[in-house]
Amino acid sequence: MESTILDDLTQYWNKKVNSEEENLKNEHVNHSDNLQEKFKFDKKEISKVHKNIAKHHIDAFDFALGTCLERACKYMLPFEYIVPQEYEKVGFKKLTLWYESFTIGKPTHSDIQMENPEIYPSECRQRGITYAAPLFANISRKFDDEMNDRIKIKLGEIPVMIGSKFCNLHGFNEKQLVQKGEDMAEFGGQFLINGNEKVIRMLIVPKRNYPVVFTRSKFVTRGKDFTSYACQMRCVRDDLTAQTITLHYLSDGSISLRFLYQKQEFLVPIIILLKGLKNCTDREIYEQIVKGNFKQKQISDRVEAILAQGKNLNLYDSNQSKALIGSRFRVVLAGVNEEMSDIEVGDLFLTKYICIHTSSYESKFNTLLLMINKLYSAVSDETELDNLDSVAHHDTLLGGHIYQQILAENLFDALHINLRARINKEIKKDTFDAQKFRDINTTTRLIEASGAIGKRMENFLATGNLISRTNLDLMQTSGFCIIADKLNNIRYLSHFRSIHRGQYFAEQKTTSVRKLLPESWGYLCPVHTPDGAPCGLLNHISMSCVPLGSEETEIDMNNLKSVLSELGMLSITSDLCLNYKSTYYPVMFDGIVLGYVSKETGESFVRSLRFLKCTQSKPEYNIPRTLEIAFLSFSGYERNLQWPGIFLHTTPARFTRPVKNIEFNCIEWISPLEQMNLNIACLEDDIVPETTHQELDPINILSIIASVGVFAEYNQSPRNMYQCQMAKQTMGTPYHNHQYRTDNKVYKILFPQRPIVKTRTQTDFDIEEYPSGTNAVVAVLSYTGYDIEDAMIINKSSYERGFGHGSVYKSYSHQINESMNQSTGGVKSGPKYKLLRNSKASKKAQRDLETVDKDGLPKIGRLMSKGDPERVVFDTLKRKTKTAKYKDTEKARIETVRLCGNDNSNPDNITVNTTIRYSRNPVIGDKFSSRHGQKGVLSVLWPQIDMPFTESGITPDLIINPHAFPSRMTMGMLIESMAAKSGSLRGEFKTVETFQKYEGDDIVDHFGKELLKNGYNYYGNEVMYSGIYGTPLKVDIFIGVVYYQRLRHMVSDKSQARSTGANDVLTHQPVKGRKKGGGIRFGEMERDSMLAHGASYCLNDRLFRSSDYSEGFVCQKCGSVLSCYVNRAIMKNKSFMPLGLDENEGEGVQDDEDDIHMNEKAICKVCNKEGNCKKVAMPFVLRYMTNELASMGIKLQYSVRDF
Amino acid sequence: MTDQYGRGLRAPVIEILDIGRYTIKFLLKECHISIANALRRIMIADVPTMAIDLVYINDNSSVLHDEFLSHRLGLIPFKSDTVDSYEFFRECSCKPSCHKCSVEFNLRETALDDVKDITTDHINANNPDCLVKPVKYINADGNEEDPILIVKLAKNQKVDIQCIVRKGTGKEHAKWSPVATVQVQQMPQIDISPSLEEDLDTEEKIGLVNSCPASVYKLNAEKQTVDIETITDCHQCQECTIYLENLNKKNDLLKVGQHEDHFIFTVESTGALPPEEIVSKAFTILIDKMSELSQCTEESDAKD
Repeated sequence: MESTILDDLTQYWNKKVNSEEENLKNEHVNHSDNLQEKFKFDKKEISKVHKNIAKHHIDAFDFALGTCLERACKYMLPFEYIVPQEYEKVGFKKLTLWYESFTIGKPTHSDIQMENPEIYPSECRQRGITYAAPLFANISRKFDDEMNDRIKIKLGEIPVMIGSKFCNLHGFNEKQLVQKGEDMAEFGGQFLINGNEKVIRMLIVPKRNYPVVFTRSKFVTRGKDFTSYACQMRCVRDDLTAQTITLHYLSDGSISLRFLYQKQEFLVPIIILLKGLKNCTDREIYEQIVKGNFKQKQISDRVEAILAQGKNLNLYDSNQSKALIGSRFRVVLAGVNEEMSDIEVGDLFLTKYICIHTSSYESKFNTLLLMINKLYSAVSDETELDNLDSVAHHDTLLGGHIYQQILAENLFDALHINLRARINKEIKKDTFDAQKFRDINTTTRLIEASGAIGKRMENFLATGNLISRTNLDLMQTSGFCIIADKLNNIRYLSHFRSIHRGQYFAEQKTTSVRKLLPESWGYLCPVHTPDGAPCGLLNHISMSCVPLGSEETEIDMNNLKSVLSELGMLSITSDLCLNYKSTYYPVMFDGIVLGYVSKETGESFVRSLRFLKCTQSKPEYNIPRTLEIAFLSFSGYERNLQWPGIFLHTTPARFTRPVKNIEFNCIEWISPLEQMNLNIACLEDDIVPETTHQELDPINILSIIASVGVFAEYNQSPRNMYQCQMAKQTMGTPYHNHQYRTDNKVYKILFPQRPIVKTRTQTDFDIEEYPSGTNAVVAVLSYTGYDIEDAMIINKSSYERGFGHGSVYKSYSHQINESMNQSTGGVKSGPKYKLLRNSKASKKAQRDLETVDKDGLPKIGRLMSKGDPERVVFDTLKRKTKTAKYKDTEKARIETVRLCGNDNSNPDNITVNTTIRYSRNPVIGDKFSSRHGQKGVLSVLWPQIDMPFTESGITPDLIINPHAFPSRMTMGMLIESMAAKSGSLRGEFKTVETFQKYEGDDIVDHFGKELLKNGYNYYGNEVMYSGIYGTPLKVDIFIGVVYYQRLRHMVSDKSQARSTGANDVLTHQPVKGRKKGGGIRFGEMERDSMLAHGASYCLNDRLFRSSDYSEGFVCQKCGSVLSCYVNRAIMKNKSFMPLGLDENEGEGVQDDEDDIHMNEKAICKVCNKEGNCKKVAMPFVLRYMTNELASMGIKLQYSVRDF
Repeated sequence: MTDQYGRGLRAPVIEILDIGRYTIKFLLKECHISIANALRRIMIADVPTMAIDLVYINDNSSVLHDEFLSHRLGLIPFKSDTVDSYEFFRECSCKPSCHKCSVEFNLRETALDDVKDITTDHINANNPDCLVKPVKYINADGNEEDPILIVKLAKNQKVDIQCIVRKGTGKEHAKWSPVATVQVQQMPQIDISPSLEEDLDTEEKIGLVNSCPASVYKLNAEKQTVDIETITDCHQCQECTIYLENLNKKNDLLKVGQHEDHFIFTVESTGALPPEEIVSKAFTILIDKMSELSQCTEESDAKD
């Protein structure tokens, strides 16, 4: 039996909590373990927590494509094709098709004759293809009332998530993974699209099946009588289909329901729905809403307004309402045909679009009433409004879930839209053969052709664009997918834990959505968010947070109802027409009102339910461990902070996290809405009598990356944010399966080390298996002046011994037979290019052939410089070789050459994938950083003998300036320096924890004493001598060991300079861009500074001479530059001199290019007169602009005069 | 104290404290700081040794790429006792290379059945009589240590490398530096006032002794005096004076300082050269440099 993420983590935390005391006892033993750890590099297993990093993605995918797709299949309406009357020849009147079930196979080679048809991700990655599995549908077909036929049709290859149950790697252990060319720590969760790893990023969506009430001033403009108040519920069916409904409060007291269908907005008066859902009297509705508050005139007035609307529409029973709805909506709803009556359409509408989280009309009715109640109480200011930005009112939209929704919609559309169109077309054909049409193969062909489902899913993952008829109740249509680049391991894993607030909010001008709210405690990391545009919108889930990908158990409603009744709930049943007063708590379970609990018993009800949830003592009750029990109690005052009620949720896509329940002494999984009303102590000391829960570990509020930083709690908080950013840009160890990877760009350092000071998380998440830096001896002093302004000096000898050495790998593919795709234009078919077999080349090509291998592909290990032949292929048309040259200006070596075939079984259609390697050892200007947001650039490689040295003869690897500290307050870096110094003296790794307590709350004392014990100064200061003079420096220098990371920003990728080069065709100005050898923009601000200096010649040079200098003629009479034209043949006059030019300069030109240049004579075409045209120097864009304006009928006149 | 340029310090004295296989510790007395520092700098950067400088890779299917492997090879220390018999590569008259300036080695290994460790033992000289060879370390017990690991080969992986060892100095590349580190320390000087004996009670004396992280002091139980046990261990941390300061005693009880003209050198060799040879060579080079300098100054004087 496979363990779930909840099992794993509960176990992990249980172990952790219990072992903490033991750890204290065994500290001495651990110390010797630490020493041993140093030699333990052959680790064979990856920790469970690490494997669970992306488990929520996998769970969601498995659940969505397993259970939910099955359910969606059941909800899908059958496709009915009614043959139009004029086509009687077809032989049938009605064709019905419906999906019976779907099955998804395992990814296989398209060439199924292979011995092992399974295809593994590693192969897809290297070949640059999509990792996809076939999707089969069992479709039933029925002509009129004949017997059913069953057809199994392959609808295409849909991309599957790596590590999901549809993946061939499912359930593999480390060894098996490695055998299949994966990294042993591969945790899955991504898709492979054309060889690229893609992740569907988590998205925040409103909490499902929970009514929220809020105001928006914009609502007033929605229609007549609209106010800003609204109550909204995102209803989600068990197959993950979502449909938001919004109740708007109108100023006359009534309510209008708004919903979006196929991107169109519809408004329905609530009374129509209420009447349609239940055959009830006005009195019943009245009492359900007023709830005994008969004295409150306001409420009864409002209800009367609602009921009056019903009167006006003459609605008395449900069928009337349904017919009304049906008559209005039958034109827009999908799946409606002419044969359906208005009432049937009304039923379809109520079932499919109103409160879709429940199928029973009774429940829908009650849910709407509850929403009305909540809305009215907010309008009359009895309750505080809900904050829509709070995590308490949020769910996650996991990749698997949205994937399934898109898939389900496509499957529906394949029959209802695409197939309908095809059959229409087929029937209209003159050659239509009724017998042939009835053939199963014809149906199969038609359905297959209308699907293209695989391609659509692939397109979604490749572009992140949602192409949908309904938009799936989402606020955005793009930006769902991101590339999971393996720049380093940390960056890679953070993709799976990032969660976006939604594109819509990125454009919003207010910053309120970006704020860090207390409700997000424990769920979203307060530290790990980028600064700049996506700040606060792109968050990361905390270490302990688990977004639920699937339902934990299936709930039997009747069973649950009886359990809840046993605990004290008074259930609502339609027969009794019981009516509970407003002093009762409604019990809402997944958006369905199950009953009421009296004010007095509320607390004990919740407590006993929580007991059942935590202890799981009654398995027959089947209470899930992740049940959210949100008890929003009466405040005891007139106004409630939250609308009172007991809200139970078992739905997936919630956030949960484990905390310790003190009362029942066990681990409880809680959700955000629930958390708000629990009293959770952070530390032991915080426990007060009311406390019910305690945090398992305070670092649980941090994301994985934030908790990797050591001593982060001593730093100024923005520095930790910067570190989270920079950790993702470090060159490190991205993976261990290098030979099987063809990532576009990979950064690696050659001598990675495990940090001497590390956090426990680093061990837990196996981050040290992927180290990304070096322990460097760092002295903090101002030496030579090369370390000012965040520059740092590196010891030349350290550099020569390998400090910061790294390389960059680039991979690219070329199709050898590229012209196959182009039309060969009548030439006999066959490959245009071939790999060389035996070199029968011309003498000219012989030189190229010497530098490449026998097959014409580059030699492994060869150093390539610009212009070197890289690939030589044989052109079968021209009967000679063709050479492709290496184009990059930077030299690189060939690392790997792969030859990849394709599934079209054409042996000549070969793709060559080349990996090249750039040697990137540190050069001046490369960027480095410590783990405390302290980045700096290398300013000089300083000889070892000139570096300052300590009494023990140590020269620092690195010198940084003391000015880096006062304003930034990164005390953590200083403490790390001390701790690592003591660790390196004792020969042990130091494992620290964020928020760890030290004796007397004095961490400096702790490490200071350790240093003293090892014969060093308490503060880590040492006497240092000048390397140049040998004399002691006047002050003691703070020197220690700090883990340094090399960042990926390197000068060689950025340096840009130009003397002359390419110019823009249109403007004649120098082009931009480093790749094209372009210039650096001399912009407005630069211009301003030149003006301020009065450096006019310099200005003239930059903006004119070195830019789009041009010479031309201007007619003195009509002032046009466009009408002048030169007829060189007839000119002899030498008197023209360009205006704005120096006399001498002009003469210089005359000397150089004697006749031709100066013999020019221009005629104005407009004035048609000679001698009026003067030669001037002007920017070319000016002429261009004049032209453009002329095309719009605007003339620019220039007046010219001599100076 | 002598004057600024060390006039009057004409006769420095060396007192060897300890010589080991890889370290030497000596005291340089009556010497100006500039000379001591010059000696340190020369030992690090100017004493020539032999190291791999040029690598021809004929085949390399190991996990480490060519540049990586070459860099690792370069850092291997070579036994360079005969370094004086070789020319600097750039000063040699030969065209590509010759036996006067370079020694050729090869490294040809294939892992046939299991993972194979390629170490310095596998580096073979083309000329078997060659005295220049990778260093083999001998530990304190007199046993040979494991050779330096260069790369691990998995089954069927192969390296075929030709290396050329050349003479060079640490100034050009750290691989030619004969020392791991040269420790120069001004001789500590601790003046204990005689009145300390009376001014402090026993407890305070013990406190003073314990305050030193390097345990320089020792309490003489009989005489109730604080003696200096290992003065060379003092590294000027001033913990003892801080301790006394905190006791609020008179501040002239203890004075921790340094002897300006006495230096303790600890030279740690990489194994390329014996430590004493590094020192003596450093002196020779220093003298050469001096004479070169004086020659130059004389020449320039003559010109005037």
